[in-house]
Amino acid sequence: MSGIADNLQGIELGTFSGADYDQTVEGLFGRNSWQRVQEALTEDQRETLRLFFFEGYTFAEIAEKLGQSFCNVRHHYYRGLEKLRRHLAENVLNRR
Amino acid sequence: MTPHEEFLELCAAATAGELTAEEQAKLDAHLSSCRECRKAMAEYEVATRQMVAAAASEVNAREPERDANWSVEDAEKAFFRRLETKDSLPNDSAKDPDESNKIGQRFTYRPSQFRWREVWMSLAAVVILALALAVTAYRTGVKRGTDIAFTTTEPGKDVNPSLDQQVKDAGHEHAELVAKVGEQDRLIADLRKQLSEQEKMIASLKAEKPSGRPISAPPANPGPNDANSQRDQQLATAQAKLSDLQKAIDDLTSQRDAVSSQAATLEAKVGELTQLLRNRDLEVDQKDDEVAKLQELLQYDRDVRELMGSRDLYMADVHDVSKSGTAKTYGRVFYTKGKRLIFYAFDLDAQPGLQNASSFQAWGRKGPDKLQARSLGIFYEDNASKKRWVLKANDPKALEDIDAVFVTVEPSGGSQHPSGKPLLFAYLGVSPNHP
Repeated sequence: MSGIADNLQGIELGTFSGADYDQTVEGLFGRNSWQRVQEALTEDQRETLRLFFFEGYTFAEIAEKLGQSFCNVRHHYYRGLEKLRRHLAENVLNRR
Repeated sequence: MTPHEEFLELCAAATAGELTAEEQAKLDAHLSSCRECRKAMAEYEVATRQMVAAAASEVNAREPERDANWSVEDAEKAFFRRLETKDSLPNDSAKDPDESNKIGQRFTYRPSQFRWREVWMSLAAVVILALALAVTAYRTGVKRGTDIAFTTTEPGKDVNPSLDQQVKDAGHEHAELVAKVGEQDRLIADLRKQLSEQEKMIASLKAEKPSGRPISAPPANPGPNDANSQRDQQLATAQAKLSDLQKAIDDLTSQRDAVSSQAATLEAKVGELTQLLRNRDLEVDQKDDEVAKLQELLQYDRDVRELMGSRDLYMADVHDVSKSGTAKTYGRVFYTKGKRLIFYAFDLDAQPGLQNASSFQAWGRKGPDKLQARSLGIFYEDNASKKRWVLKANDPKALEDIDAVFVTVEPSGGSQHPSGKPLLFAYLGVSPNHP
């Protein structure tokens, strides 16, 4: 079983068209994918990932903002990313 | 939490650049030996890139809205608010000095040592491969060059093998043929012996056979004539064997004759080649002699040129100084001061009372005392028909400061000091007269 890293090798944003569109971020996550992925995450995970990726905060800043410890934030990040990884793996593999 | 889960969390945090140096080292050590975690790490990186891309597309989608609401004042306020928040952060980050540095280092790519090692290993492999290819290409080139050299030189060898090699080859072939003839001679002798025995046996069988019945005729009735019949059979077999033996001897003899003839031809060839070799050696010797003579002549030529071309040459004719002296010239001296002296003398052996074993020795004199004279060497006959003798002295030490040269008759082999009466004398203490 090949991993998503293998399946996604060579994919660069904005360089796909036509049949390759399925391999882009939107193709992989689906349109409005972030909304769909959010449903699978807990509140803490969702907030951590949002603040980290969308707002540009560091873990320490997120910890401060959410009133949690640095370790907790890192754990939420890990669990959230793990769900994304699994989601991507299923998504990519189901399409192949 | 399983041990792998601990490392998976570290992998995830590594993609955010949120690991301490200690944790990074720990993760690197684990990744170097865990394939599963390496795979997970790669997949986290992919997931992270997708998230960043998703965020970027969402930010772009929100951009017009933001443009409408955005103002410098709001941005400044937000900035200072964040600065204040940062300053008032609890001392969590102070516990780890690296933590403070990490703020604002989001998305900073921190390649682990393991990954760099992979890159370097790949580069090293490429370099080694290139070197190996270069060495192989070089060696192939050298080998091809050597092969070409061999193929260009070998035909010459085959076409014109040396005379020595030809003689050796012919001699070897001749020896083989002679050995073959000897072997065949032995075989023939053996067969002749068998033939002789067979003949004897046939004779004895014939002697036993009763007369009046042909050998090949079968007996009339077996019974009492069994012995005769058996004897006839033996006789027929012996005669057939005799015939076979005779045939074998004839074949072998003809083969032997052919081989002998071949050997004789080869022997003649060896003789011819040996003669050629001798002639060639003679030619080589003659050429060597000629070369030696030419070299000798060249040496003379050089001597003459050196002497005649000398700036301070002194030439003098030498006369008989005995009481019965004549005006006849007995010698000639060519002298370059302190460098070279050539003394030609004539009719030295015509001196009265001279013994066959005597030598004519030249001396260089300094001052009137002839016992202090230095030996310059012994004359040798340069040209017997012209009765010319010569002495050459090139030793600067012996020629140093001499003012005269004279010749005495000395015992064979010469003397340490002049012991005989001076025959010829030439004074050298004058200025050079040539050129």
